[in-house]
Amino acid sequence: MRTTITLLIACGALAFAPDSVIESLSWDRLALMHGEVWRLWTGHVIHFSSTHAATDIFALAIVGAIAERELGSRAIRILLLAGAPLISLALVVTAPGLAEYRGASAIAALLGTAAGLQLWRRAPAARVLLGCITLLAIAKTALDFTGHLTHASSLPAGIHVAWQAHLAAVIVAVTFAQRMQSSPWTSLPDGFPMHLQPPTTLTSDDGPSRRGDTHAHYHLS
Amino acid sequence: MRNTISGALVALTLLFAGCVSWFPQQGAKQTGSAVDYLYPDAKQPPNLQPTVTYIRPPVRVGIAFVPGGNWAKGLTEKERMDLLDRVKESFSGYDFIGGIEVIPGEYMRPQGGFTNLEQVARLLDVEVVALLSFDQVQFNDSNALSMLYWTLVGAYVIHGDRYDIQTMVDAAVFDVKSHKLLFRAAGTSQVKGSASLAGFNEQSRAARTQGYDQAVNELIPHLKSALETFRERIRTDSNYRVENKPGYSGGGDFGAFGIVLALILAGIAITVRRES
Repeated sequence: MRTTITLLIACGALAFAPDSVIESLSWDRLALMHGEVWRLWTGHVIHFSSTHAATDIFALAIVGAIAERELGSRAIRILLLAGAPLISLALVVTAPGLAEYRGASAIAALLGTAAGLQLWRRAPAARVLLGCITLLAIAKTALDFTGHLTHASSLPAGIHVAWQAHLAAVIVAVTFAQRMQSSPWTSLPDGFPMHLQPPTTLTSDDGPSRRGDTHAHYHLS
Repeated sequence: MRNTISGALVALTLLFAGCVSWFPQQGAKQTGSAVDYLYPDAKQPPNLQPTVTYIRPPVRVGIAFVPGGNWAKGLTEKERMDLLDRVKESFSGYDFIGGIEVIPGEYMRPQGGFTNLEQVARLLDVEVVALLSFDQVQFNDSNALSMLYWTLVGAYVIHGDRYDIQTMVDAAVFDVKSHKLLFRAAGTSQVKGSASLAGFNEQSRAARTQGYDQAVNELIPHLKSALETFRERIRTDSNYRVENKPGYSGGGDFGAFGIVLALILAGIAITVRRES
């Protein structure tokens, strides 16, 4: 849970940061064009208002906890470090009119999708429910696109939902899941979830594992 | 003797003719038309092509009186400002409206058409303009009691004249770029009354003001209702498309709906974990 907690603390602390700090960290198209590349990451941990921050932090806490438990700390660190700038770059391309972006919902969608895919893989019985969530998520994105969900939005007046970020997050998460299945980088000794089952999807080179066993070497078969 | 009678008849005729000149006019009309302003000397209907109108919130709205006609003379400056303020208020409080500008009357050229409207919209940076117009017609009639005006005293105490004042205040909201009428709303009123010959002008003037106030009071809720209807319509009508303005700010928003999804996912994860 360390990664999720660190992320939540960062979002919470930055919600009360001075405007000058927030403005220097937000996803800003012009600033990005001028080489301020840190904004590709930091834009995802700052918000437009305390309500916006509270909503995203709450969602991030839920999906972060699930994702970290299902995938492990190291995997979600990699996912966040690689996924956050990819989402930001996707916004540059897919939302040409967007001048500024803030919010952690895209990385929450990233972690939620990755966790959902892992649950899909290891719990076939839950696939109907997971399918329903997927359909509801598609419906939410469609409603965000058409502007029908503005009354349920936590964004201040005049700020639009950047639904492209959520869509990009899902694509990144699906790509990540596919890579995870085929790549040895998913050997996860650091905080790797011990409950990860079924055994048919995992092999242990070092025999039965226990929590905190940093020598165990896992990879997805 | 004959000369005396003839003289008396002439005098009476002149006196009666003079009295007739005291009587109120047959009626009055004050009018200002958005159609006359936007389509001056139009002999054919405007050739509007079916196009998609782009709405880019937050929309900047301008409010102006239709220039020309004689209707403006019928309103005091205070009444004009009150109407502008009330219309402005009815547009405020919506997050899709970014700003509301009152367009000075001096900028509006009589029969200026969309050319004038586009110039003003560019000058004040507004995309949508609400044009306010006002029509008021006053009909005057005499009743049987007016015969008693000949007693002179009757002209002060007998209500021998009637007025019927019909008023319509109209707000038509146009998209400046596409020239399309987005929506309109109107308020109407009818005020009837009677007055003595001596007090007719004063009372009918007060009735005109009353009729105008009633029409405006009816216009404002109609305008809000039309705005709400339009807001719903653009979501389903393929002739309208809502787009983000270039340079807009966007936020990643999970929202209440997203949190519900996250909670369902958490429930599944907990169940799967327990079962495994």
